[in-house]
Amino acid sequence: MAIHSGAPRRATLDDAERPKLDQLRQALAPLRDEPGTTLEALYAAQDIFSYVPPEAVTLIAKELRLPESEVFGVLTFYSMFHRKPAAAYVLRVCRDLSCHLTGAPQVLHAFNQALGARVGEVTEDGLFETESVSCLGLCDLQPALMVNLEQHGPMTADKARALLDDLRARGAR
Amino acid sequence: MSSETVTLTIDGQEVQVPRGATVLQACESIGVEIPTLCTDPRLKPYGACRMCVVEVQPGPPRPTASCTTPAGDGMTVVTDSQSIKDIRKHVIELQLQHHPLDCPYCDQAGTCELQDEVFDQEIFQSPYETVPKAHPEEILNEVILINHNRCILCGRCVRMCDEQIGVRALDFVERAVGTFIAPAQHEFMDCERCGMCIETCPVGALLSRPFKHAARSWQTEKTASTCPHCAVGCSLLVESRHGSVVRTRSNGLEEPDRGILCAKGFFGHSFVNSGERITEPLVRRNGALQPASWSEALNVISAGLREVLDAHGPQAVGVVGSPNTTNEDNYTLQRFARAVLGTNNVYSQSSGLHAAARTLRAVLGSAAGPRSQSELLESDVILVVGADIGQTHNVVGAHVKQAARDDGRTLLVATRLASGLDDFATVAARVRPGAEAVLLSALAGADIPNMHALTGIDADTLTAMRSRVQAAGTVAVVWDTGVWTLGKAEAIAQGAANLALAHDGVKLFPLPERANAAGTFLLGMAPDLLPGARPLSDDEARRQASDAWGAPVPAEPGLAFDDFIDGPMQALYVMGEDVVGGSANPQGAQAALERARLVVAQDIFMNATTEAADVVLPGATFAEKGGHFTNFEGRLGRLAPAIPPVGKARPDWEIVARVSAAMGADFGWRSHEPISTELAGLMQRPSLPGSRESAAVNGAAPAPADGFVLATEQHLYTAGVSGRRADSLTLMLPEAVAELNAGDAQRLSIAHGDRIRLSADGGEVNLKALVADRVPPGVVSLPDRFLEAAPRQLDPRAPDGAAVRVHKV
Amino acid sequence: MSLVVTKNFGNPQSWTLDSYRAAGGYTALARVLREMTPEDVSDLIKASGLSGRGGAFFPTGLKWEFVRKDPKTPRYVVVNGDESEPGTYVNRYSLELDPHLMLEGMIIAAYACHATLGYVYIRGEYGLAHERTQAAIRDAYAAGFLGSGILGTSGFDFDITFRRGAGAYIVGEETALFNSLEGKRGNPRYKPPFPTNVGVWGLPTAINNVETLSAVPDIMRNGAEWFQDLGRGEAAGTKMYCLSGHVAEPGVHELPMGVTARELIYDYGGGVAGGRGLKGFKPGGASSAPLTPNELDAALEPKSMGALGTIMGTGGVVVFDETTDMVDVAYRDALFFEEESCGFCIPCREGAPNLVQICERILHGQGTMDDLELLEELGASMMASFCGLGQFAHQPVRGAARRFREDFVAHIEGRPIPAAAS
Repeated sequence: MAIHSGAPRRATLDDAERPKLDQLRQALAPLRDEPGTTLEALYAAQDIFSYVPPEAVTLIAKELRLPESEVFGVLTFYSMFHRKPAAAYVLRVCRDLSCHLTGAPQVLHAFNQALGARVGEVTEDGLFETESVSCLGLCDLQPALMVNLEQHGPMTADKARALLDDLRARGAR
Repeated sequence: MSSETVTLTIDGQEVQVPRGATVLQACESIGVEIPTLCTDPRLKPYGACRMCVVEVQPGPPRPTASCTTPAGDGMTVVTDSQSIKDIRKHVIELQLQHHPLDCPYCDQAGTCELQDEVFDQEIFQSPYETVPKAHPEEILNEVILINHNRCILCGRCVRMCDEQIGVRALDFVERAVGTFIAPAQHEFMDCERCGMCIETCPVGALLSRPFKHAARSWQTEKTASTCPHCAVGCSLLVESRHGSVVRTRSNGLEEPDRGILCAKGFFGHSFVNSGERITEPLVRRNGALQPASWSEALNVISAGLREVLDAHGPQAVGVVGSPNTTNEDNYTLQRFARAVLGTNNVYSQSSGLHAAARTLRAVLGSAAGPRSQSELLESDVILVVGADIGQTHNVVGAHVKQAARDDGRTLLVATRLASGLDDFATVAARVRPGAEAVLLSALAGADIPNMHALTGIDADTLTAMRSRVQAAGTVAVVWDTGVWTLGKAEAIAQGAANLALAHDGVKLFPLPERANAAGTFLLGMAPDLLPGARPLSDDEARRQASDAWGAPVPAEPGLAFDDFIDGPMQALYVMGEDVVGGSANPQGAQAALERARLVVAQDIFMNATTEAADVVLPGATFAEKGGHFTNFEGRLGRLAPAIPPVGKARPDWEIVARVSAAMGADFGWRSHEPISTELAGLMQRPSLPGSRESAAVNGAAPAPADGFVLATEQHLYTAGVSGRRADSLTLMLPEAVAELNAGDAQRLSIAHGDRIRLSADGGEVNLKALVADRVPPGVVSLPDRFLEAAPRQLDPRAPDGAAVRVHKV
Repeated sequence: MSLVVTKNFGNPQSWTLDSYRAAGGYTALARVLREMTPEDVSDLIKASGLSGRGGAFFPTGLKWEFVRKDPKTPRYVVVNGDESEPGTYVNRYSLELDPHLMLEGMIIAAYACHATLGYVYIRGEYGLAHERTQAAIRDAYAAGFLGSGILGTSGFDFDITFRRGAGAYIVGEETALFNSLEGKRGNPRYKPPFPTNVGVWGLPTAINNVETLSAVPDIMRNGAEWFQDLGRGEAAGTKMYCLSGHVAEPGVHELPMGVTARELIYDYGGGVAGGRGLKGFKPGGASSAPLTPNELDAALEPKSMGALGTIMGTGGVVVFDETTDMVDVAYRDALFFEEESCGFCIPCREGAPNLVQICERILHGQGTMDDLELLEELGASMMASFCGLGQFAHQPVRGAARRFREDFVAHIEGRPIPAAAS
């Protein structure tokens, strides 16, 4: 426990989002008594906020009785956790060997060009961001990608553009 | 061959080591040097730097880290093959790609383990492109900063903070080559500021801000000494240069500190070179204290004492020793009083420990202790009651956490404030300030009506604690005897004694409130005691003392201190203590001093007592003299002079001895060593049976309906008079603050940092509010031992547990 | 040939309990509980030659015996479903199409190990596998295959907790997986102590790959010899191989352990995509050093691959056509390991970026022959890494630089990359 505990940290959540912390607190209740649930707790925060804001890290540390430094260390270790508000559709394009050999760079380029955004940038409508990720285990669908956790492939630049249209039609979640 | 050992061959040499030892330890045991970077004897094996790789047969077909490989029977180890040497060199070359060679202005230069390895591995150029990182240095908090560029990610800081301190304020962040070390959320590091991350860092990544660019490590003189800030008595390495202490560090892995320090030990030394030190004798002339020569001061004192003795007899003279000064200092003062002045009016103001020790001795006899820290840590159950020992005796607190986590001890916590101990406890509860003694009695089996309302602890929690105490073979009961126990120290000790009487395995560990409080008790700095804390009424003890001192010790005990100053006092000699500021009745004490014919005060800083004195003498700090402190275990901690005393200051024993000589009784001492020897000869401990009677303790007052209860315990960053002059510590806690719970603060519309007014029957005080998780609802906490003595302004008689009202200003 | 682990893939709704039971599912468990002691089970598994399909090929029966013999309790069975090796997707198929088969194997493992608790850990990206495996666990509980007194036995209790990863290749390393299960950063732990004695939560743990456990029910049914004989030569059983890269038909094939790369690529994968020539292939994921067309007839099993200086790995075979720049292949591998190193130890954390830099230099025409030597030295140092990731990360790069040296030299000397034809 910190000595000056209680000193408020820099607030990052706006008033509209703060009530979500109560939602997170409730989601953490079943995790509190089970050891080793830090990843699940971070997922819970990400499900609620679309990312893991600093306030959620503080709350998770408190509720799970863990050092806050450790929770933050865990958050930053795993690539699937977002630390900034995430798009409704995260386009995870595989960059590894098989997909690379079969056209992944062109697919990623097609997305970024169509979206007018770079990797990791959320489009202004909040709908899309691309990620260039390690092998997704979809090599039979090479070049492959995931829209959040939904599998797509084999992709081409044309299919990539068509996918964006499909997703736009689905709208924000 | 015994199964307790294994035999292996290292570089052709056969070696036997205990089973469970690592290959690295086996190598070290026969002097085979293995380079390491991530190893620290205080920490568990880790294996990250890969410098300690060796070839092991039977074993994997690749280099193996010796630090994480257990030595096995029949194992063959090669530590110095060419391929092993190449790997070590290559590992350093890889790390050096990012590590800047800014050794000329790095504080770690000279003690840098990486620098040593570069030298040892003869690395003059690297085959890899150098890609220095260029992160700016980051200030982590008031006293610690990190230079990421130099960090080699050995994790020693992270592990030290976790394994040894039990705080874990740092962790690894990100991964792969982008990994770095950071506090939670990569923001301000709100830790315990113990500095142990700096201490263990093998390179110049974690740095002390106060020490930054203060000296090159090879330019400092290193002196082994003992920390003066609390009764744990940690070993210190005092580093000085040009007559100033530039830093203090941990020194060795032995008891009691086992190689760690707290904020006060690591950062609390700068009071030694404070500009506020008293540097020359002062004599009151025309109503004002004015500089004087030593001879003038000694003349004034000896003449004054002689006059009082002649006019009023020895009962009009008294001396006050100090738990801030050494055994040798106190002993000299005592001998001077009893053998030269002929008075038993000998005092020490360390009320809490003396009161507890007397009570325990009365009930349990000489079996009451003190006992060693290992007995504490090896008890099946460790029960911490009252103040948070993580604040008052931080290093013991850290060891307790470790015992609970790593050694399977059951930790029960019944403190007034929440603390880091709670996270390691089997049962953690909040006891209401004032109800500590009642709780102890209840744990001993006393049936306390209205238990929950009185103590704040419900029946289930009490049962949970009681059953664990009853089921345990050995139970250590640990409590701080700090100023918060004023007025109830005896009751708390009686409660603890009740528990010891109810359960054979209970051992008691009162933790004294200041560095040498235990020493002043054991030395008999009291009107009715003699060295060894033997009763003055013991004829044999008196005879031995008289023989040693060459003068008869009066048989009549001295008066109680308050009776003395309000009664016959005409002369008072105070050494290292503020009898006015520390009094329950400061105005009364001040008036008494003003009435006296002669008041002598020797100290390192001015205080209310020196202000009222006729002669003020400049004493020496721990860093300027030799001698010993006696810690909470009764263990002697050695002090050695690291620097000469500032100005005209002298060690306290020497000043007293010179006064004595001026009065015709020269002890003949030219250093502290003969004093150490002489006093050791008188320290036989008495064999006392004790009453072995349980007694009811005073009931606590129920919670006030509309107000708060005051908790006044020592804060980790306050260390009394000297600590308040240690600028690094005052940075951590600049002023007295009132801490209260978030719920209470919200109810009263008090925000973090607001000014508030606390009022009680005895007075009121205006100060800054902190909203703190550690404070339970209905409690307001004030740190003790600020110069401004905030708690006592409220109710000087017994502030802790008092009802107070809180108002927003 | 008998299919062992993929036999149900074609069944309608193969992932459901009903479908699985219709195909005879959970009868092996019933028989084990009725007729066999835990010792019998591990002995049978030992005799079958079943070894860890995650790529380490440690004898499974022996592992279970070690766990059972450790007196500490509770003991754990952990399923390693953190399949993340580039070019590998066999566990995904098993978890999406037949999670009950893995569960049945896991419950039998628990019986053999005297384990009472289990975790199924699946990489975070396998969303469909999460859904179906969690449903399978729920249904198995409801049907009495999990929980207390399994199938009416007294004294055989086994409870499973489902957990997902969150994006970290290193967590496929078994001790890193324990850390992840415990909610920590996925750094590996040192060995010994081995997981069989000190595993998750410091307790004895049998950690097995999805595919390994999926083979267990049929071994129980058909015997050790039957399984042993499914493999070629000395290799036992079947293996799920998967194809990707420049192959005509990527996909998963369960084949005798020890099938040749030629058979796999040409008979099952339809050959090189577009009918182009073959430049080389990787036998087992990113960690494996690539082989040349001359080595097409080597058996895809651990011993023969080891003899060629590469590894069998996960069975993720990646095909390179004649136009492939093998320096670029090495570069992609290096990038992967640079990204996925946990950062714990110096040789891996600092070594992997140097693999990348050396490849980059060579690719950009700035390399020298000294770089090839440096690569060897660097590799030797990376062998001192804390765990397998660092110990293997340099192998594909060094392997490429040895077997496809011409590509590297061509870049260094500014010549076009030679094409190769099989």
